[in-house]
Amino acid sequence: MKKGLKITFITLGSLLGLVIIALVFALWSLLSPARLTKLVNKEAPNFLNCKFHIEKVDLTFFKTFPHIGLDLHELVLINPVYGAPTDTLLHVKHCATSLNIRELVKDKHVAIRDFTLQNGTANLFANPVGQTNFTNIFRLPKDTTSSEFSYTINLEQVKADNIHVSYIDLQSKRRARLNDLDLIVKGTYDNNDMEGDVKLGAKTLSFVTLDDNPLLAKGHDLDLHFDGSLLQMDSLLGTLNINIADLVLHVGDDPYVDTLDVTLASDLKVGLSNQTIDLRETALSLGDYKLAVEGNARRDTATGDLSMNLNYRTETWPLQEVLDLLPRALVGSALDSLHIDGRAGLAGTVMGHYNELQSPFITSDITLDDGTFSMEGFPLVFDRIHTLCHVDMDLNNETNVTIKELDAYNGRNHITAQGTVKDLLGKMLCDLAINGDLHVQDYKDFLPSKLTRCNARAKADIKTVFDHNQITSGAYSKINATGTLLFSDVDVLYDDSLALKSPSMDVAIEFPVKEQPYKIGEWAHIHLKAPHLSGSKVDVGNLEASTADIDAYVNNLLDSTLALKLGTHYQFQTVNGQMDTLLATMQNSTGTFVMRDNNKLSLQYAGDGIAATVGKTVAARTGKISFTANSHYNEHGKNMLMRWNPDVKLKLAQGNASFQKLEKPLEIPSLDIDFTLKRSNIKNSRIKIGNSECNLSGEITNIDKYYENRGLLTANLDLTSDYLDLNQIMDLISGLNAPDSLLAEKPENSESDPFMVPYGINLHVKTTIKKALFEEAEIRNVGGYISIKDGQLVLDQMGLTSDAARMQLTALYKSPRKNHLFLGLDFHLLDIKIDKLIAMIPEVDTILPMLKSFAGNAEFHFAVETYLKSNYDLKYSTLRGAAAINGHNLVVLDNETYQNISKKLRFNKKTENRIDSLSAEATIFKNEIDVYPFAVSIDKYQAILSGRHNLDMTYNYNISLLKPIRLGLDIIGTDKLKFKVGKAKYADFYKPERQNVVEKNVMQLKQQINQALRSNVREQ
Amino acid sequence: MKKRKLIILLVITIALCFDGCNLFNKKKFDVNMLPGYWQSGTLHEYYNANGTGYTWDTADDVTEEEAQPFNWTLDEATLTQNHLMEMGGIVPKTYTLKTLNTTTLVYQDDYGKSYTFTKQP
Repeated sequence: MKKGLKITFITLGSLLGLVIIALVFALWSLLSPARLTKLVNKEAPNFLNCKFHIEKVDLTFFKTFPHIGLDLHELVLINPVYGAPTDTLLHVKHCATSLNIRELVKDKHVAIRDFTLQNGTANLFANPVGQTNFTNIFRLPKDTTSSEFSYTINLEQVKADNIHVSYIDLQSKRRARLNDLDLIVKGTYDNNDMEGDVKLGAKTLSFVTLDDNPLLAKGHDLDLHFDGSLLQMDSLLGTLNINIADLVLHVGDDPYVDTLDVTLASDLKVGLSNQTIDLRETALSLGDYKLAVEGNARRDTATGDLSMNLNYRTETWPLQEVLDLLPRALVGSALDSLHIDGRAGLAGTVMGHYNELQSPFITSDITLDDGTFSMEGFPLVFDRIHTLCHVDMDLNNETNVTIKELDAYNGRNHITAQGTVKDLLGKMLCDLAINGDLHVQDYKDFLPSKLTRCNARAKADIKTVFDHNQITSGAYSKINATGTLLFSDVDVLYDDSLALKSPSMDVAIEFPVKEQPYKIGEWAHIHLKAPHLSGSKVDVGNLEASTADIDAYVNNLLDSTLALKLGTHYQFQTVNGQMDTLLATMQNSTGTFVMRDNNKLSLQYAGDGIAATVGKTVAARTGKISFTANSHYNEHGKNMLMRWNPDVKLKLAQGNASFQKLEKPLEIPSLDIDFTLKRSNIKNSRIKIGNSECNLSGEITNIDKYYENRGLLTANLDLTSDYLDLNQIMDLISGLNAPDSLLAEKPENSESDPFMVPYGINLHVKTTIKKALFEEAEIRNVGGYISIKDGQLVLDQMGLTSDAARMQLTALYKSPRKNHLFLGLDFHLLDIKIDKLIAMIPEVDTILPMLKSFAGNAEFHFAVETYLKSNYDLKYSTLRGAAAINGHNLVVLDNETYQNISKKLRFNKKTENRIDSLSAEATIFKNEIDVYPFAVSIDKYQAILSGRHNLDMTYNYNISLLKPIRLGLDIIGTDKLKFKVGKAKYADFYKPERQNVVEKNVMQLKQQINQALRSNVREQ
Repeated sequence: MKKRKLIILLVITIALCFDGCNLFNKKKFDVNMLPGYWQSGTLHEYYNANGTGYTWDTADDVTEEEAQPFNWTLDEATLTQNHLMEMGGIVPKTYTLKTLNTTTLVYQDDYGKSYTFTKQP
């Protein structure tokens, strides 16, 4: 445009030369049109380097009033240039200038002060190589001596009326057009300095660059008024007012300004050659939006770059309307998803270069009041926004915002913030310090989808860093945040199953984390302190905690594709938990809990004590306790223990447990266990139960196989004890894990509930017991093995000592059903006092009733088996047994039976009732006890006793007296015994050579029975 | 007095002679008649041909599956049952057969206790 102005001035200057020529010819031809025309055409070549045509020249008075002037009709300048659309440079109907007739005539001097162009066109053209059709077409004659006239040009006014100007510059690729140009230039021109006033108007104007991305500017009703000076035809200085209606400014297809009325009032200074502009007190209005600008700008003539250093200030603008005006080419689509409104005011600077590659650096201090903000994809809407912020807009790099103050409401939530937003039009990287008084439930969209309920009030003090993409794409997990949240009235439900409540919680958050202590992909660090917490999980249980301090790390909670991972160090003053029928209270608990995924758990715990109950069946309490537990969850596990598959190392002290079935509690002064489902070690653990106390150690294996019915629970234990109450212990384990059908069976005696041997267990206990109570007997030095294997309880060669005897017992007890219990005994009593034996085992009197007639020490071997009813009554039809007793120097007690026998057998009254030896065998079959023949020697008498008695105490005995006479005595009856003398039944029983077949068989059976019974005696 | 003693000895001798005659007069029974299922009230006995058997008494709430085993032999009229103990060892019982046919089994022990069984299908 400035170049065009220069060209215009040059053109006007040249035209002045033509006018001068016309005046000279007018004067020369005595002012007649013919003479004037002839004169001008003759002089014109002195001033023009191009072809020209002047149809007629005549004098005019009105056009140059009050002076007389020359009017050149149909002035045509022709200057063909290669590539030009036309060879006509200028064509006007009239070109008029005033003349001073007196100077012309008197002094032969032509003084040109003004001229006017009317109704024409000007076609200015420069081809791609820089040839123009308007340069050097005018010239002032260097030597005017050949001319009759002298010339001076001192323009005071130049006017153009209804001139269409076309300018095409193919070298610099631009084109401009002014239609219906009206121009009034008043001023003085002296020594290349012009001073005056320019008023320019055009009906339409347009400007376009001829490149791939053309800049198009157009408008109409141009009204330009410049009052100033043009120094050295280069420096324009003055006041400029411009009004353009419906200005359109496009770059390519991108609209920058769309039909806006533009006004400009500026005190400016323009350098034409160096293409600079200084603006002072410049007011620019685009439509209704006013902008004050000052500063300077410069266009690099070589590169075309525009460098600017401007200050600007706006009035208070309605933000939404102004943002709508921002060129899309400048802001891209960054604002598409934003809905921002309010009253905004801006003040700032524009500095830097503008070209195809660069844009200037724009700063702005923005004040926004009564603002609203929402963004597509962002679930929150903010209103009542007040903010004061500073924007550094660098379109070459990034646009940054510093939020000095931000105060906003999101519904009932109040938020204040300070911070920065970097790359506002790009990544929108926010670094904010946010304080809020929030209702957490209003931010459900930001919380994990599985958080089905989250009601809480929170006072937040958060520092956070996030970007636009993280918000719009919902990638909240990548947001950085640290700060504190003071929650109150917390009521959270996760996955419709895990609930948490607390009246208040102090939570410090940090994500992402700075360290990863648990290696679980830590994303957030949450430190929670709460005076009271209550939690529950459906189908698991409830938890109440006081004075909770939880320092937790979690993985990305917001990534729904990831399973929850958690690592935490916890501390609780008290914890009350409930799981199914389990109730537990823990005191001063501390430890760590790590959940590497849903399947991998790790727990370390230390506490002052745990008190727990399981329904009404178990109540337990411990002193100090510590344990570590690791679990690899297996959802296919058959029961909870199998599913959690724990690996536990437990140490506790001062524990005790009360069982519903035990009158006395189980005390555990110390316990040290390493537990896994495959192998568990009990190390130096001390247990008290009722009157019993023992140390239990050993190994338990196959717990997993036991629960999966793939194998027996196997235990090899060492039990050492000073005292055991076996009666209580048997009550404790009675019926453990017996089949349901077995447990459901009603015992014959409804009050009876027999001991049922555990199934699926292979328990092997090596016992070293100093003293034990079994039934009513106190036994000592119990050594041997107790085994339980798949429904069978075996006491294997247990060595016992009591006041009555040294004993050795092998016992087998089975409980195939409650009313069909098997008991087998292989019992050896060595060196026992007979009366003690009968007192300890009353059943002996039933088997060998004659035994109570003897006193002294004996050796008793007894094997018996039978099935029992549920109340332990014998099923006599199943009773089988054998017994042998061997004694020496026994005393026959002087009772009624003895007196009857001695009387019948005519014992000497002085006979000493002592038996040298006794060796008797008996078998038991159902209710029949058959006593095999055995010899008894008293004094000079020798007899063989044999017979049967039934358990109903009916007798059928025979005494075969061998010495001093052979005589038999049958003893038959019940309480009232009948004594009948007869023959000696076993007269030759101890004389092998005389034995009959029956006696031989009987003797053989005696020996078999005796040997069989003795063979089980273990060396002690 | 001496006469009295002699009379007693004579009686005993005669008694022993009669008793000895009884031994020689024992019946013989067909061992093949014994195998099978025999019942006497609530008492059940089952004799297998291979010399094994089992017995149970429903009066004591014992089922056939819970029966106790024995081995048996029949020598002329002497039936021996060796009842097998789970703890090891045997309890021998000897009876004298009185009747054994397709429907009835009668035996008696040395103390005169007699058992009568009926053959069961």
